[in-house]
Amino acid sequence: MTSQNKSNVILEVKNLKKYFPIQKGFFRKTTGYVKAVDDVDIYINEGETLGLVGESGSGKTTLGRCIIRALEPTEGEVYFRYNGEPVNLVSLDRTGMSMVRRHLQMIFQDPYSSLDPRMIISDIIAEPLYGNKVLKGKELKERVRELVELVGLEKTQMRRYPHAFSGGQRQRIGIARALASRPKLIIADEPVSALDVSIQAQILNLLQDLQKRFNLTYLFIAHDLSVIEHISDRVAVMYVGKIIELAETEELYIKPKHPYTEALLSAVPQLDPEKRTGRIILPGEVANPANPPSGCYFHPRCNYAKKICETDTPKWEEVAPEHFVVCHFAKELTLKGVD
Amino acid sequence: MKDSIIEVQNLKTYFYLDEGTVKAVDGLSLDIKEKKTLGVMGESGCGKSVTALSILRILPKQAKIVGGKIFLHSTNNNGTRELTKYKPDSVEMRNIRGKEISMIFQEPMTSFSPVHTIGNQILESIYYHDTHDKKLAMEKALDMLHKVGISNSKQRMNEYPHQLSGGLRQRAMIAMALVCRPKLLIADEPTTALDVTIQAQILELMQSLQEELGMAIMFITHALGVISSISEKVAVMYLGRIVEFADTRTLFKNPQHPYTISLFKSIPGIGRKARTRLEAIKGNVPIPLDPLPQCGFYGRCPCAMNGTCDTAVPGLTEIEEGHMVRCFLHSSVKETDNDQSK
Repeated sequence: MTSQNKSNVILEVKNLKKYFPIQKGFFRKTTGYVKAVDDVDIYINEGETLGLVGESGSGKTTLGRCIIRALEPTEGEVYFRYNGEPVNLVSLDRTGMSMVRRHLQMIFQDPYSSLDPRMIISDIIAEPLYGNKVLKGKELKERVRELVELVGLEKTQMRRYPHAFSGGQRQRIGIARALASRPKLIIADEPVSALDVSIQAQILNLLQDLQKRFNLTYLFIAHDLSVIEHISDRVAVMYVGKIIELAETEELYIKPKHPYTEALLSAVPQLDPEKRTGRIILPGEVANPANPPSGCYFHPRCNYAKKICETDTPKWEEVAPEHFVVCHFAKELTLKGVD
Repeated sequence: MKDSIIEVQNLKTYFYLDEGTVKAVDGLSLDIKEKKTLGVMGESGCGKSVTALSILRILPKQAKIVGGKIFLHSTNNNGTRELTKYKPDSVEMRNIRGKEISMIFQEPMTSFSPVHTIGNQILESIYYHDTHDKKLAMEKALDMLHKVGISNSKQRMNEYPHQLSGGLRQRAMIAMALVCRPKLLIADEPTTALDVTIQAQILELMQSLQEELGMAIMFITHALGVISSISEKVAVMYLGRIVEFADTRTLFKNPQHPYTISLFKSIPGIGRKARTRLEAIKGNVPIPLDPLPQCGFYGRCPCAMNGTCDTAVPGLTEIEEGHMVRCFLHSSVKETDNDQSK
């Protein structure tokens, strides 16, 4: 991928692949691979939010995890700007990684299972600081108190256990923990999808405020297209392990170039009861990444598919400035976005 | 009432827990018209599901219907029956469940039995309500599976729930619910666990089946977009009560209750372009544990009036034809006044 302004890029992912082996039989013989992430290239500028959207099983979470090396990628490079120099995270050893990792943090989807039920809140938030040996004693306590207030919780609640908090409050605790080591990049994996509608807005606002205040960079993973539109500067659409379209948010929503993006946008239920029509119903289900279709992975469900789509894999091309698509007919099709 | 199929009058379902009494549903009245879709919208803990479970009388042990009546109107010779008079495990209720009222659940994985095949689970309800003729039952089951769009249905009949994908499982669940052609289908968050493209498929399917079989649907969800695309009338619930009721158009174009208005403002709609700040509703949905006699939304309401909203529960009043709102901004009627007038 080409990016005009390299100096501002904080994270660049090149040809990242993650294949999970399928093992069968007594000798655990490898009979195939699930290509969860298949040749992904993305970059994120400092201070921006890149939205990553896709259906379940498309590899969004695996990609996020490979970036912080919670999973070991099969192939590819992940460059993270550390002290002004891009460092390939994949090639780092344990000590090297632990130095860098405090600048990379993650917020998880399920606020119920991502907090240890036997730890009190102040310990949960302080844990990344012990681990990275950043702060001790009084300073540590002070920092935890600061974080608790930063995410909008009460100081008096610090000695409680997670079960005493509601979903929205737990998500705030998760955010405080992620912020503890003053990270540069935060990977937010579906941070609001488990929350009630009225709480979602609170957390989205909090994430935006924090971004402004600390110049944070987000990789925001979600399946909800309206949330993604709301929070992202640029959006990447993922389908069966590959990024199929990437553009600036407005460009992508108004002028989608990939038939899958068009269908996704049309399938979002509209708030206005008069806009009921125009839903594109895709036949079938998301392809199985262990046994993907030939050619373009999307062709069995695509309304515009032609012969070539069954045989040839389309290439990643830039159809408009900073608008990338993987489709044979990206330039010919006129697709409908949201209005 | 004319052409309604289910009529709920002032239903009160309470949970008796060690911590106190949770008033999950507290004075709820609604009726569902034949062949129409009623959307019930609300956040978790507002009593949507408990209402559904109360109608079918499949509440958990701690819960009790302490007041109100539920009527089932049938066009056949059964006439009008009062469901609240039957015992939950009575023959009468068993004959109604699955035959006249069916339900589909949010999580299709946990609501199927994992140790029986899809086919056996669908056949069970045919054998109970319809026929003991094995061949005929099989035919009906296959026909239904075909209707919900499951291909090679013969093979699917012999498969277990874990062998199906989420979308197929939800289709099988719908087939199981509809196989005896019920007059009312209660759908409790049927698409929440599904992806958007699969959700679009299921919504389309439910609408076409509704036309074909002529059933009423009570559609429970927290997703505003889904409600707007499927239902004719919408009831907005908050803390066990209906706070606003209107036809879909009116509700989405001209919401009147502060809760409904704030909800619309707080969700990011698609196509709004500018990345503006959302107007979040402060606080959380309170737990209805021994609630005070005040408007449930009082603590979170942007236009709460001290001295009025915290002294009594507002009553549900009609502000224009078919548009009901429960708020002191629109009328000074209190909940107790309403009760006495009935």
